[in-house]
Amino acid sequence: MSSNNPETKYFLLKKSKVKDLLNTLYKEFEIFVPVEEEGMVNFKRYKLNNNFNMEFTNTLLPPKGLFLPQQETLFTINYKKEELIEENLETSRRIIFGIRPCDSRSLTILDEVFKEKSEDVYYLQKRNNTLLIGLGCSNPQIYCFCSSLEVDPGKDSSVDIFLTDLGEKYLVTANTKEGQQLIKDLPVYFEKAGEEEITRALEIQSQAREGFSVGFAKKDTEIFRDVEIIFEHPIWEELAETCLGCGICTYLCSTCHCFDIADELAKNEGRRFRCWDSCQFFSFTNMTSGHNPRPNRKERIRQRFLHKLSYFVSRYGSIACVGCGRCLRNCPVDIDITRVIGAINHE
Amino acid sequence: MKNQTYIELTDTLKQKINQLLNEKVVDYVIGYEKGSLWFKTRPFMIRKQTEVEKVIWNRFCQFNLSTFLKPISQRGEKIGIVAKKCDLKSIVELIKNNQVKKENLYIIQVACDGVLNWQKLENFSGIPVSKVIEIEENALNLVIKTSESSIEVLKSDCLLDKCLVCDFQHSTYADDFISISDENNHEIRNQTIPYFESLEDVDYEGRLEFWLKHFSRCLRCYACRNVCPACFCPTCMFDSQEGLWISKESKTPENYVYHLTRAFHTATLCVECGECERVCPVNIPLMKLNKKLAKEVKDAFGYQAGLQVDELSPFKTFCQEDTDEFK
Repeated sequence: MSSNNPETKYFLLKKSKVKDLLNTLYKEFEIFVPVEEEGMVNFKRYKLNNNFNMEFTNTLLPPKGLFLPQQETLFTINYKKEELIEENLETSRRIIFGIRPCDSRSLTILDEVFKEKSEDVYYLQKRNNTLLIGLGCSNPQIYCFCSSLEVDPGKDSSVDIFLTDLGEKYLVTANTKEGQQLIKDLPVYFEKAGEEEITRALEIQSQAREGFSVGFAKKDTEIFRDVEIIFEHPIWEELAETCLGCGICTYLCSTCHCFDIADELAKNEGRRFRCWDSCQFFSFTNMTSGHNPRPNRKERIRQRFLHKLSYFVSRYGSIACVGCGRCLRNCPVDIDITRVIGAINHE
Repeated sequence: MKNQTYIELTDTLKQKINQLLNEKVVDYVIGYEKGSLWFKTRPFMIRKQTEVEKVIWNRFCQFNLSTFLKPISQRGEKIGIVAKKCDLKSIVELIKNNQVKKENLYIIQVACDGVLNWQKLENFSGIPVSKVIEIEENALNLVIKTSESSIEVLKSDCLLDKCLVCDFQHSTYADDFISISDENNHEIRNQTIPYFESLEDVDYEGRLEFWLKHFSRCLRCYACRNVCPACFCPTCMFDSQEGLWISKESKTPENYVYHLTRAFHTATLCVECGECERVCPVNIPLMKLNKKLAKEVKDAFGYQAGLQVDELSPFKTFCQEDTDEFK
């Protein structure tokens, strides 16, 4: 999270120099790069001279886990010493190298939640320590629909440094002071971009905005502002018939952020941790009394959609979806948010 | 994707479903409809005759619909179900284990020539699905066309693993078999030996390392459990509210307990439909585990799940000749 600077500057970075750049940055930063393993690309911690894959479409897991890990110890208690030990907060400076525009948008959405009222230090510390180096999409995938949510796949000014793929090299745009400083400190990797390259990058950026296979019109999301109407819509019953109630859509979602907090005991030590949880699970809302306000799949699947399209909008002003398409790609029964929005409006 | 056989089968299937609903033989039919993308299909509950038009049958109908017969989703209605040969094994197990009554079912088996896996399609052709304009089929190959080129790949390379050992024949257990005249002409059948890399020859440490590596990335989304037709416990032990058997944290030892318990629970019930492995978002090779258990059950008891409806599971029978000792 960095301060914006209106003055942007353009540079060039040769692809052949990226590894050297990462090796240099590695001395000062903990770097996360897209790495292909077991047929999946995910952000992994970079080690000296490690291989990485910048030709990826998008990572299977969203980068939210780098800020809100699937499990995270908050504190431990030593009963013998009657002592509470707070977990060391992340202090190392970090870089995410190659974050896509949809995923960087998801972080600004998550910021709203974790900054609201009481600040969530566990999340914010990591966020403040992390520099984002974004990578534009020149080729949206068949399940992408970020353009429906006003994410620009070709250009991202919310990241510190943004890369546009020009084939042999990247056009590098420094958006923030921190980003500019990083480039300034490492002049050996960055050369000034010429007019010709900037023009070509602009073309590539605008091409990325075309060719989406799925999506919806923005005005079709307005219907969700009227919860009274939408709450009893027959579509929830229909979706519940085939929904398996698994956690794929929530765990792979770049904006879903619900977590559970639990205590565990071991010998003389107690530990409090938080871990991802899913509104699709029965246990998510099950009360100690045995009452469950969302007893069936219908109520649970409705919750997921309305949280994104209705409740989040009235609380924070934006839709909690960035169109990354991970739910659409991975849902075992092909529940598709773009179809749901379309069906509610037009069927 | 054009395939005349499948178009004709779809038409016949629609007529059949129409008739079943019209004559009130069933309350609804579980079938497939078109998915959001060309290589996807979606399970579909057909209740009204006006919905029959949406029914499809094609090479991407991979979902094992029998999972919707689990009691948790039943409402005591009479159900029609569209089934591939492999899905019938799951239905047999559900009937055998008193999860659904045969008299409440109407099983429509549809001729199947193997189900295509879109990820294999991408891998073998090197063409992302987003670039594909059309796919044509000839005897052995798929011709994948983009706006610039066309590439041929072996059909058998792109089929689900389970299709490579399937005989695609009519099951006598189905109430109906929808096929066209040349149904027995399966060119791809038995042409390829199924690729299954066994862990049998790997030593204990090697196997432990293998599974720790894979289980360590499990997200515990429970998709493998929820999609499984054999996972029909009313309350899964991992959802128990009375006691937490494993931590909610998705740590390696916890994930290990989850996966091994799941595998043991479904041994003698698993018909190797492969749905768990297919839906796993992080590519855990669960079928290796399931196949291993199926092999042990077969070696020890000569029993295979899903074949005979009147053959009881070894866990439910007592046999004088059984030895008491565990090997």
